[in-house]
Amino acid sequence: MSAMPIRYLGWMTWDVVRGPGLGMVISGVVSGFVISTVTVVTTGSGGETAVFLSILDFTVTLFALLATAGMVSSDFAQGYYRTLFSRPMSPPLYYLLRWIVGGLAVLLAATLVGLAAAARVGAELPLTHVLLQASLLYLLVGGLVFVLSTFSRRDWLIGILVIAAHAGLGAARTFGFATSGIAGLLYRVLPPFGPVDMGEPAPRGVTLVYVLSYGLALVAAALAIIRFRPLARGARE
Amino acid sequence: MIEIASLGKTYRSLIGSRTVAALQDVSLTIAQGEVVGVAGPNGAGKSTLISILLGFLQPTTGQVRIAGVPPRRFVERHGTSYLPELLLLPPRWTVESALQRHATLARIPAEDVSKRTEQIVEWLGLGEHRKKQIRQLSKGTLQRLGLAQSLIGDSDLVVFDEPTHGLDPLWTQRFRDIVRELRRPGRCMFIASHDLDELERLADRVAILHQGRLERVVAAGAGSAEEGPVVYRLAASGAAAAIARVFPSATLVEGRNNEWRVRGRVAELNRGLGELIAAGAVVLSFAPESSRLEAEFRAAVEGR
Repeated sequence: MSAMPIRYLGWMTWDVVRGPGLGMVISGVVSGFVISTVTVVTTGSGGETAVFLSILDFTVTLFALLATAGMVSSDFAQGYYRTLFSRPMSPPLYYLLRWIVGGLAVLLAATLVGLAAAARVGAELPLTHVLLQASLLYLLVGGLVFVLSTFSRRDWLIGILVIAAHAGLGAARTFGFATSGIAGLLYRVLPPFGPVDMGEPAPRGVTLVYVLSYGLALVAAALAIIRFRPLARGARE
Repeated sequence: MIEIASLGKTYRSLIGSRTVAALQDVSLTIAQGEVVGVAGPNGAGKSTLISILLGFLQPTTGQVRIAGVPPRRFVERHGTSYLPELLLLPPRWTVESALQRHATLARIPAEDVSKRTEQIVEWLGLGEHRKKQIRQLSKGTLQRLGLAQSLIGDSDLVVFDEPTHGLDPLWTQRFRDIVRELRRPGRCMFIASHDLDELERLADRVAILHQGRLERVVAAGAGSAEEGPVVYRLAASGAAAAIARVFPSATLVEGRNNEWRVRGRVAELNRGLGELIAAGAVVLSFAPESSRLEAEFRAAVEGR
């Protein structure tokens, strides 16, 4: 029998709806309001779609952080893992399932926010582009927080710092800084958030392969850590 | 079913400067159908042993096999009925949803989840609490929920860590019945407890751990009393002379003029009692002063 608790999917979805889902609804409403306000202000300047997608990009990043924050770490910190993993299932597969459910929630929320905001401002939503970029964004942000969650309760905070560091270095590079040395190296080893920006064309070819490989490697690393590291840190922890 | 061979576990501080040996060279075999208790003072290594049995921790030395495979593999394939010392579940879950979730995870068929939940709620007297959130439960009810979630599946490996902790006397009694009901030939039960009386009643054997070492394994249960001399307290009237004759080593209990301490094997004591009664003594009470397990425990911990 499968070690992946597929039948637990309903409960898992319910937990995502009640936990991160609530945060997504609140941030989605705020984001939708900001999109409609800012886009209405910029209408006529020709940049409304770019502004719209840029805010949506920020929103989806936030969704991905919400969907994965504390995903593994809270179960271990609170001690819930002891009863959970005395059941016949594989811990890595349990968390993989949870990560996938989080991703589907992010895609659903991104679609709803996008459609609602597009309807409000009377713009057409490039749905395929939004879904593709949101998937890749979740792969990178969700994958990063998934790995961080295997060893820190501050997973979301470290995730934000990594995203901010990447954005800061990216901005510096546009002015000709941080192209070499440690800053340049750091920019290259950080997750490639640049190509998955909603305001940019979707990555293709080698860039797409790199983004996919990077994201999948993050998820694989998280699963490997859960598989090979002892679940407990002490007799009662 | 469970083979523990030369098991050792050492905890190291983050920089490795300080080490604590939680278990040292522990070897024990537990057969199918057996109920084994683990006793020991605080810090003896009981919880570490349980964590290794469930595959939560890796041993530093030695190995554990359950049905021939490493513990984690066994648990992931078959699951266990595990009651942790301190039950930790999300506080907003209700009693009913916690049990339904665990029934699902324990691979109870979807169509039987509600029925099984009902059974277990009934069995552990949780009916009036089923809609309550876990954070609203008293300590005793939480412990019963812990038992309920552990028993909702049907595993061949049962691991209870301090199972009667927080239970009132009525439920402690009920718990003993539950353990008796759970006994079956293919099932192995492992109970860690500070309560020696509890272990003596429930277990076939009790492993005594002290400072991470397995000091001794003592036979428990009804048959164990036949294995060696025991000390009983005998209260009888009009029997001083007869007692001195039948039990020459008997000593009068301080402050009592009709109570004696007698020592011997159960068969000898039975014969002696018969002689006393035949001699016209009125036996008021006859009870073990301390169990053999208690004596063994004290000896193990005090290094005798």
